[in-house]
Amino acid sequence: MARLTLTPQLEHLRASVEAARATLEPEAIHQARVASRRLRVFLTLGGVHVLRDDLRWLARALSRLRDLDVAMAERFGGDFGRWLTAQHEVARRAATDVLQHPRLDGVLRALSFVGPVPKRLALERRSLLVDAVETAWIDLRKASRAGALEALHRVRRRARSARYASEWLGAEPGPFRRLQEAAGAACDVMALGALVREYEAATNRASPTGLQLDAVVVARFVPALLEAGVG
Amino acid sequence: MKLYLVRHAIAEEGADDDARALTKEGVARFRQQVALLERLDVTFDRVLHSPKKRAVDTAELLERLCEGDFEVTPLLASAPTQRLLDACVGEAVALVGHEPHLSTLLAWLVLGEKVAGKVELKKGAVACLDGPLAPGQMQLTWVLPPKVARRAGLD
Repeated sequence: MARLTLTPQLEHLRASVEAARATLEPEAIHQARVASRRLRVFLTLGGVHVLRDDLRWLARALSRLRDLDVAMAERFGGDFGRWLTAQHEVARRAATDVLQHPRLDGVLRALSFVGPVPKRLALERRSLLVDAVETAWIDLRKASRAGALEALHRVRRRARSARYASEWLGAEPGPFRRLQEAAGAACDVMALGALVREYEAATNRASPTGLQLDAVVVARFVPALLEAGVG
Repeated sequence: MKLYLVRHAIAEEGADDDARALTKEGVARFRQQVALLERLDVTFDRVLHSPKKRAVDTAELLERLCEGDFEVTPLLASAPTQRLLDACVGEAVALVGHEPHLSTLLAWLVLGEKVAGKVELKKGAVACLDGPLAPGQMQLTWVLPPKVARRAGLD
């Protein structure tokens, strides 16, 4: 019987965690999050419940630094740029604590004992993930302006899971990858919008972009995504 | 809070201690234990487990009793410390681990002394403690050896 093994992605996670511990480089942080999400999908395909929460913890714990890495790449100047730099430094310290946390060593150790998953079982579970993308897509089409951002996030998350499940199974991930990337671009703008709001609240200063970024997403990204379709 | 100490189920022998899996008998017996815990309305809002394979597999079998998160921690693969207690966040927390560390933890929390073997915890046994999570402050409410579920013929 054909079986899937998590070894390649576990090696990816180990390597990216090692690199992140050494340098905190944006690419290493990004790859650690990607590998933890791919492994989480593997556990879902295998019907394994334990260790999923640990992988979600890791991805979430590094998300603040990732959002700030992306924002810093825009090279904002002025007060907002200085505020971002200060927040980035705080996020780097927090990420260092996460990367040194015993829970991370525990999850790396425990993952090495997870056995292979029968391909037949994984195929059945992948179909559930694909159905979930379709449900999220329908919800996005129906969503009000107020609900569009949350619906968009859900499309991105589910498209990502379906993409990774397809890749594990050697199936064509194309439509899910395109959907994830398109929704991801919108979510990056939303993440920047959240940082801008945080800056405004912390400093009582006006938005450095002069734009309401969430409104931009609702007005431009969501219609463009719906127009392009699932593929 | 309620703290449930769960010793891993029966595992294979092997040279690599960390990699020892549960035996088929271990899985079957622990499923009976889980069925009995379910009848007793035991639920957890958090399950912490050691990274050793036999503890990971035992924690997986507790899935239907867990209403919250699972968390792996190497702190359960060594002698109990204050750091382990700090990780026990919740009102009903299960710790899946090994001997002699679990019975040492039990004695520490109930008697205030870190001594092993005051209470026998067979493989697959569950002990329930109640009270403030601090050394010498908890009460041992019950211990459920696996043979109770086995004799009750639960599936």
